[in-house]
Amino acid sequence: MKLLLVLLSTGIVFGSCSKAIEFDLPEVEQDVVLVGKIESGNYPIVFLSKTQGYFEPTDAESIFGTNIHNASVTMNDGVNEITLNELCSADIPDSLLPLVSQVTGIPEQNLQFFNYCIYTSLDPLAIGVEGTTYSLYIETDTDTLTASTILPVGVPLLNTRFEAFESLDSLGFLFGTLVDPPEEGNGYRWFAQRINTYKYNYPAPYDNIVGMQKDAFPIAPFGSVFDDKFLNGLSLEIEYNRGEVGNLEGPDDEGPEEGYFKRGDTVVIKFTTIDYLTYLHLRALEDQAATNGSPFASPGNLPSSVVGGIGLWAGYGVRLDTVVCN
Amino acid sequence: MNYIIKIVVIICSFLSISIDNTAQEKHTISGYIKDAGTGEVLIGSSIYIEELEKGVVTNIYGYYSLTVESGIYNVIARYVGYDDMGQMVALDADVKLNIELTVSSDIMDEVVVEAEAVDNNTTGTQMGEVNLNMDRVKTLPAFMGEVDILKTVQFLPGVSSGGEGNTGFYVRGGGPDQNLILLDEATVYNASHLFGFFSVFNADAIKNVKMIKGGMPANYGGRISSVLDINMKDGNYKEYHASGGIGLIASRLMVEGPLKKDTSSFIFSGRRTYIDVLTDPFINDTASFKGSGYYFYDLTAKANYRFNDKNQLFISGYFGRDVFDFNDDNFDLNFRVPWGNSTASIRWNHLFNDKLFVNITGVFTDYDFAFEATQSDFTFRLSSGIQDFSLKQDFTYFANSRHQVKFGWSVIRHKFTPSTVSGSSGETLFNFDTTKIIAYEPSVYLLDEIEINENLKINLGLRFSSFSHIGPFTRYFKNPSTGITDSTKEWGSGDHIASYTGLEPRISIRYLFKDNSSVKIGVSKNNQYIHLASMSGVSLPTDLWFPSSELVKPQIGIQYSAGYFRNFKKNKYEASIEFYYKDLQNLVEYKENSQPDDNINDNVDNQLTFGKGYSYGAEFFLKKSLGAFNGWIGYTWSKTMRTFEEINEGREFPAKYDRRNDLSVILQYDITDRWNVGFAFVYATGSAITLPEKRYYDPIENRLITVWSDRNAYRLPSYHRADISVTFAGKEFKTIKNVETGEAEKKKKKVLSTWNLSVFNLYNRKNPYFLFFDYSGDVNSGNLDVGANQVSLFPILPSITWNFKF
Repeated sequence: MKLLLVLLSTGIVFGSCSKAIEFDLPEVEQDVVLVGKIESGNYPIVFLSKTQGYFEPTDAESIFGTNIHNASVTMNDGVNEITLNELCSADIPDSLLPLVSQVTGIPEQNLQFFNYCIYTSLDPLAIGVEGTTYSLYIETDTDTLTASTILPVGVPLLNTRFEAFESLDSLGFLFGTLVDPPEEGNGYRWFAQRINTYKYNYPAPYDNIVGMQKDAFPIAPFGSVFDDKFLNGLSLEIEYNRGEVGNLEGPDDEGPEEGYFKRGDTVVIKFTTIDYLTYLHLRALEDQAATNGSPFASPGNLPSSVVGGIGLWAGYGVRLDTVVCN
Repeated sequence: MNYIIKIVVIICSFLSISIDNTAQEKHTISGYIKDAGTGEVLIGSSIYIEELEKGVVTNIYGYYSLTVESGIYNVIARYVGYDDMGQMVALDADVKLNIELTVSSDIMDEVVVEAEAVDNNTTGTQMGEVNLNMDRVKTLPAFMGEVDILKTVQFLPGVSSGGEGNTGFYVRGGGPDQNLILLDEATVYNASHLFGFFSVFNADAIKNVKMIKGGMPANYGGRISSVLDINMKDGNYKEYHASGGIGLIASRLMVEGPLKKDTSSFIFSGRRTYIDVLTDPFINDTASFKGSGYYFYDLTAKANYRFNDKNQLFISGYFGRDVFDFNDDNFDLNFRVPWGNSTASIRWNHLFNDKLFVNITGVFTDYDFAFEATQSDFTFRLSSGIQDFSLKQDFTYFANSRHQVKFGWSVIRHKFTPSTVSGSSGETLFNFDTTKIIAYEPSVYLLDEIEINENLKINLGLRFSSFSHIGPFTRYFKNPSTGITDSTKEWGSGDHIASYTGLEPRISIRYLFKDNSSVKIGVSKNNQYIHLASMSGVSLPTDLWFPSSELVKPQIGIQYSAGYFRNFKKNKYEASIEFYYKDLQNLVEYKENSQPDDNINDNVDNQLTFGKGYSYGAEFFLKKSLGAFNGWIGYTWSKTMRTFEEINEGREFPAKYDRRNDLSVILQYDITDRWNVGFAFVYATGSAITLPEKRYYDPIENRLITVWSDRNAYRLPSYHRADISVTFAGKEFKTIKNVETGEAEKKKKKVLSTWNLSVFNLYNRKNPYFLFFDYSGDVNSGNLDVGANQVSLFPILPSITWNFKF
């Protein structure tokens, strides 16, 4: 259904006349934003920032200028209270940046060029444990925020495999069998990361990428989020195309390879379970990306798990599997 | 039932005596008024007794009845576009008088221009009612050459358009589900093709269109804003004819004729778009999307049989479908989206006597939508819809020239398909609740229109309606934090789930002044038991009809209206000013961020939030319906607001279709009897929209996230547009030489042609259809940019249509 509306909107946009316009929006009060996640087996990361006016400058300095520093951030797992400290990428040695990229999902080059500041803790007690509820209590100079999430027990994908389309030679999708637990209310999100390297160059600016790992971190394609409303307790095979990182185009994100895995790729599938509010937030996020301003959509702000601000504090129960695309 | 009818008739007779006690011996003149050329009855034509200055208009079956004192009278029948027919009648006994009117041979004729027109707008009690002349509608500028009655309705004051090129309409601040759209008394649940760009009504098959914007008479019910009552043609009783048209996107054909001359007739019409057929040869057979396309078609058919002057049977039906196919071989993806309406109605007119007319109607109506998708071994089918069976009986008692009573009853059985889903992946079948929802909606009404004296006329109505939602049904109780079904409650087949009743009083009073002007006031209360849930900013075929339930109360609309009506120059000009205030309760909307799949394995009404609204405004209308130069100017000032618990944090906000200013100018000029020029201009305050006020960067998703303003806090730029059309009719006669006499003779051509050239958006105004907000680039690449873009749908758009008739 959503696909129908997206196609319709797209058809109208392409079949009609579009022109850029400017709006003189009034000054409005800005919100505090919490974006954070905790995955099973990993350390938590929390970003704090403020919203900007929609048409304010979009350079990196302005964007990162909204970061909130020196906040007091504590995480409670029901037993332990752990302080999350502010850590900025400028303070991290370059040798550790690939690891940080892997954990945070932030491209390594970005960590090099911009000063990302996160709140985290390297205390082993801070490592995500499935089945645990994690609560955040945050105090900034002006605001107090709280948020809570469940880190659900992971569900593995079985029989993961690659299958190429006959008409596309070596290009295809990944498949896996999900055995949904009998209880209702499971939310899922799919990520995949190609860990092999490029064997040849692409047209500029990707003319010097041989030897570079294809994906620096797991990527969620559009439509990565679903729940078990239709399939509670069932076993079924799901399939996914290859995703892109927001608007960040990779070497093979334009042209015939866009959206496909390729024979020869080695792909780590990161299949995660998420709680209901996280599912609602991410579903709305994908919907917003697909229908921003569409006349067929009704604008709505993303559901938030944050009290005192907006954003998402999400727990991910992670299961990893590796597929060699033959 | 007969016993009840007798009681009502006796009461009515008593009332008629009490208000007309000066009468001596009285007799009734009654009959049908028809088109002399086709035998079609003329709805709303007037019959007038010159000496008594008394008259009535025909009902939707063309029947009239007028009871007056004995005497010899000049009885005049009139209808717009037809020559008057006068006849001396000695009324010393009850008289049957069927009258046939002839289409004006020349609408430029001074006799027609000077004739005093019908003055129903000042003398009737009804407010906010407009009848559209289909011949006039056909010469108005047509979008892509397709004559569209719904787009003509949008030109009326108090009626807002659903958007650029859209057939959706909003009446006096009401929602799209609050309009009762009837086609030969069958409810049409989705009146549009192609996502709203064209209406489902083929103008060739339509005889009459009546729009009631407020003060709905008691014989109408079930909606709280308006009635659009459309009657199909009966078909020509005298000769076989075919007509049609070839346009840019669609062609149509209509065939009509007598089944038995002057007794029985039929009409059949069809229309289909052919964009898919025309483009298919140009798509390479190897293209991955070969087989994708869109088309719509509709078929209407009607037949009737007059058994005698007292009994007539009508059978009519409509079937229309939109079909959207999409294939992508690269992804092994295919989906098909069919949707459409089907209606069928059977009606029996019976005259008990000259004063008591009854119509019994059985109606079937169905609207269904489906989405069928397959990808590899994954299949998915979603369907939704509503299906009604209804039976009703409507009586009209023509007590005398000053008193008319209508009463009747109806019962509707609704069957709702909220969202029925089936699907599989390989051998795995998904779990879906496929329960249909059943409800009954019975009602009775009594409507009494009494002329107390020459000045004062009152229309009193009372409708009693009821609604019962019965099982089988499953209520899901969901945990809002987890989305998990905590529990369910089951009702078995026939079990009572929820019932509502409502008394719906309607009153309108007219005070007529001597200068052919009148003041009218009215109050009406309406209940609406079925609701339309839409997740979209515009009406879409995916919108769901669902019933009142133990969670959803009936919508209630109370409208107060007052107006001043005045005719000028022997009724050639009609002018009116109407004011209204409408209070709306128990409105429904989806909660923010609801998605279509939320309805599956859950109740639609669990996704809803409930609210209220109000609307008020002033409508100014000036119309000239006679003469070579005719048309109207309508202007509306209005305000429409809504408040919902879970939208906009409970704060009041403007409805999307809240328009402060709305102006329509419609002009037509018959240059000669073969050339006609039509012009339309519309201006409207921009629609209320929600804009992104703030944004933030989510580094985990590497996306900019939009934070929206209060609901509908901003406005699109104003909308204005002018359209023009030129209609040229070919010569009706050809001159041939009589071989015997050698003289030139005129002979009617076998095929009559007309060409309609329309130019939509004459001055190429780039009206905003919607705005979209997008960002390009990436924050980390240093090339991030955000922007707002205005999409304008239709530039200047000429079209040409060839119409033929033989």
